[in-house]
Amino acid sequence: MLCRALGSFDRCDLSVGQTHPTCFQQGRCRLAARQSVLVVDPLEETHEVLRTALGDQGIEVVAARSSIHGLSLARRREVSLIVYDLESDGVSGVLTGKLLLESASRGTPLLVLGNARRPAAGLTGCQSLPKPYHYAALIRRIEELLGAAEKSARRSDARAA
Amino acid sequence: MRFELEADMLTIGRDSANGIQLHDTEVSRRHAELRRTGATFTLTDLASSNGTYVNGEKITVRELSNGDELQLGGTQMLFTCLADESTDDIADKIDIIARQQPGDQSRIIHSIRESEGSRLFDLGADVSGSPWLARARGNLQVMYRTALAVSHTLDIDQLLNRIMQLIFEWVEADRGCIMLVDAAGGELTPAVRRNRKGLNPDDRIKISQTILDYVMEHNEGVLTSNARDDDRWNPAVSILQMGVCEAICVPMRGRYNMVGLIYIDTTISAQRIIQQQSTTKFSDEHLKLMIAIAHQAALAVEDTRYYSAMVQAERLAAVGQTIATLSHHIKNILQGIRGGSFLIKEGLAQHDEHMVRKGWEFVEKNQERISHLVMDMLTFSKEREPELVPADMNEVAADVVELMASRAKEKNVELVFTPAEKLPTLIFDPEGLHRAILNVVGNALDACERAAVEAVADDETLIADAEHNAEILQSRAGRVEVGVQYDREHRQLRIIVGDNGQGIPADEIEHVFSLFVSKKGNRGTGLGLSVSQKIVQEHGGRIEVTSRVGEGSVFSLQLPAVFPEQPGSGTSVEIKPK
Repeated sequence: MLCRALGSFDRCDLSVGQTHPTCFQQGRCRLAARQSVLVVDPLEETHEVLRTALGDQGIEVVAARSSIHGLSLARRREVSLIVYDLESDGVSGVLTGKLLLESASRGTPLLVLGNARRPAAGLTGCQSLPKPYHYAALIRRIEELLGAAEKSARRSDARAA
Repeated sequence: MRFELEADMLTIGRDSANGIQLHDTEVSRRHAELRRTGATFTLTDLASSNGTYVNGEKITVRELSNGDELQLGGTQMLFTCLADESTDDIADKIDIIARQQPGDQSRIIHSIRESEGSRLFDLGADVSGSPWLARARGNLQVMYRTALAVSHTLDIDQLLNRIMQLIFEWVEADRGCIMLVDAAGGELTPAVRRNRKGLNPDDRIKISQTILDYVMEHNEGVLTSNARDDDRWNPAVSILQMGVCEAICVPMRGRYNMVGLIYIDTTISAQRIIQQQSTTKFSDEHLKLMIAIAHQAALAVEDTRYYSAMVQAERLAAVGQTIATLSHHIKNILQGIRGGSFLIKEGLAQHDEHMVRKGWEFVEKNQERISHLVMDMLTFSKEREPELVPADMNEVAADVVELMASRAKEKNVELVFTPAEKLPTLIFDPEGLHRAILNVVGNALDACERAAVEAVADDETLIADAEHNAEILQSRAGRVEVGVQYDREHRQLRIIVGDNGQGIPADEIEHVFSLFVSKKGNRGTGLGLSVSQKIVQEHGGRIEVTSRVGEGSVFSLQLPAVFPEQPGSGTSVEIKPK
């Protein structure tokens, strides 16, 4: 089985059998672990598009229509990326976005959909995509962030080793 | 635009970091600072390029008083604050004694209507012995009537016409006009003119520029006569040939600025001069009273202008909010359509018919959303009369239920309809009420769906397991009941829509019909219930809401039952019930 991020075992620079319990092929490569994206967006269309587009690449999409639901999922699931629509919770969406960010203190990257530059957002420095966006652009950003997240995780593991 | 001064300190300037940002290129980035100490506000100029002015005076630091006019660059602001004594303190100092309580010894001896107030100045009492007293009372009456006139209109032209009419009733003028200072150029522009009855209405009023300049420059009223030896006005014409021309010109000085001036004149014929042995008709008393009237008029003109500016600002703010809200909804619909078209494109590329169908569903769903939005906007924006025709409310409500059945199924909500028995044909706008009921039913379905979603989110054992969530959703299945009721005794038609959704908190019920207020996040336009209420009110009815949080809500659309007229009778009669 190939490393999903790099496409090949050969290119994975992590040592075999050390720190990769979640690898598809036990003890071989953590990059082979299935990546997952938590999508918190009230639009059913966004869930469906991302399931279709990312599912083809073996990326699992966990969807929530409200920020309460999303927060609950973020606390229970280890995900590679959170895609969060600021309007997921109506008026208090910004506050919940902040909670999501805090809940992702494990270093899970957050991609905010909508205007993240609002002063009260507390999301300064967050990756964001203003609405309305094209889904191709959203998918590209997700792929970029997943790649960056993996590289970051690999660096951490290497340092720990 | 109105700024509430809630912070202890805030800056005013062009930069967005200021508490009050002014989009005015003549204002410095950080122009001035407003600081609050107790109930006092102090304005400090922050070395601005163009200076800070209070009531026309350049300031460095100034403690502000209620009504002060601030000017920063080209922007004018009015400072208003509550009186020093709080209303709480005042309330503490006033006792309203309950009826039949000790201490309430007062009795009503006599009462008169508010309109009787002007009779205070009627010459009922004998004042013939005192011409001075008679004149004083007459003048007071003129001022009273002026005050009444300026307080009864917010239309400047109407206001000035009334003032001019009053002046002509009181003084024997031949011609008169009111000129207002043009806000843009500072030029005097005639606003109202009047000629005494009997004079040619096309007669032009000739006013000396010297007089106008003098009045405006010195802020003084003047009484002029070409019969007097007054080197300012250069009289040159022979009195015996032309008669005497007298004029009064007074400034209209408001709280802050010169608003304009009032001018009246009269010509005294040679014949009258010989008869009366006098060359004057206007006196100093006329002049004084004209100055008082002009001041009243100026205050009213200023108030009216401020009010108009405020209304205009509020109107612009409302338009801005409307555009922002609608853009937001359209943006979300566009996002949905993009999702649908993405799936169609991918589905076609991968020859995946299922994906194409899914995409097409999304496109259709969003097309429906935009159609509803446009219809709601049209219904709300139109000042329209309902198209009243004989119709069957059971049929209208049944059609709504049928239309919403698939949406209810999607949301796992049971939709039940109970028609009214023996419902007569009534007069109403079936299309309008169809929309009104549709919006309320749509709202009820959404409330049930939200309740179910929240149940999933609140579930402690929640896992991202579709089957598990489906079980919870099933256990929280929504139910919406639509019923038509006919109350023969009260001649009332009721359409009841009840749901077991999330309910509405008591303090939010009064806002459910407010425009653009929605609890549905990006799926709610905040138009639906407002439109329903408008339509029901157009029928002379109302919508009552009862709700309990966590249990659900009941919307009752109540309409007066109007029966078709029997041909030829001219009276309303109930036709045979079905």
